[in-house]
Amino acid sequence: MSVSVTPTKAFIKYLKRLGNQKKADAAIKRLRLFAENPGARELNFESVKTKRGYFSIRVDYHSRILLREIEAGKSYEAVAVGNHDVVYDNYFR
Amino acid sequence: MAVNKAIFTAMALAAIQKFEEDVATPAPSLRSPGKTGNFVDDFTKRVSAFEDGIRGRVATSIGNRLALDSSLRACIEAGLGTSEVTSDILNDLDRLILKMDGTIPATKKMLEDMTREADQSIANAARLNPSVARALRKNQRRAIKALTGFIDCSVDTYNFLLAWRAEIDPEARGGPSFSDPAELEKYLREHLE
Repeated sequence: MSVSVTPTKAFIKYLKRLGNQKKADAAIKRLRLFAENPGARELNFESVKTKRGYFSIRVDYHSRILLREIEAGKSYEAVAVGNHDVVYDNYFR
Repeated sequence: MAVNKAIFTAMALAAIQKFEEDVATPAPSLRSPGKTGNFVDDFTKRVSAFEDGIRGRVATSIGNRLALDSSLRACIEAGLGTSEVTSDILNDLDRLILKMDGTIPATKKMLEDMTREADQSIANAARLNPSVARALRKNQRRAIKALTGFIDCSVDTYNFLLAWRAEIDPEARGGPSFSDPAELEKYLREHLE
């Protein structure tokens, strides 16, 4: 199952501000994967607990892409790239 | 109505200001002394005080989040008005997000240091007295759990701020929509150049 994705102007600004081609490349690949298969395990697609209607997917150990749901399970806007992720259990292993 | 807008905007900016003060306060430390003469008892007391401090910070952070959420919601309901007001709020949110960009890694570093130092102390204690090492390990887990909870709460707050920023920023809405993943990638790469 695929979904439609709208990269907003703000999202593109965040990508540019990453200032690191490797990171921007990883973010683009993850967003593409999300469009192809939002259920892909490595995306760790989850809702933002503190703001209804927002979701996030993992780019790497530190970064996540923030998405706004337009139509549940069908359409999302990419709105930001965040620089932090929670501490996972495997952090201490 | 214009008065309402001005009041709600002022409330939102004040809520951001309060948030900033909280973010600027360092996380509680485990290093504060507690001298009973017994190393394990001292450490246990320090960990308990540390947990209390962390609980307080988490509660403050959640309170700040709720206050900011309701004031921004009120602003939106009243209509944000001029682009000047929007840009004032966006600028303040940006400043707060930038601060958290600094404090979250600093707290993660604190967690790494705390884990490493405690591991070392426990290894030293284990050579002399295994039961002391076990007691220290138990307390270390409590301290790590508390600090991890604080970091996770900070990350939740960070995402909350990013989402609110996106809610207010007109540039975080709309644009070309892609159902074809290859087209999406192509579009993004073109815009990055």
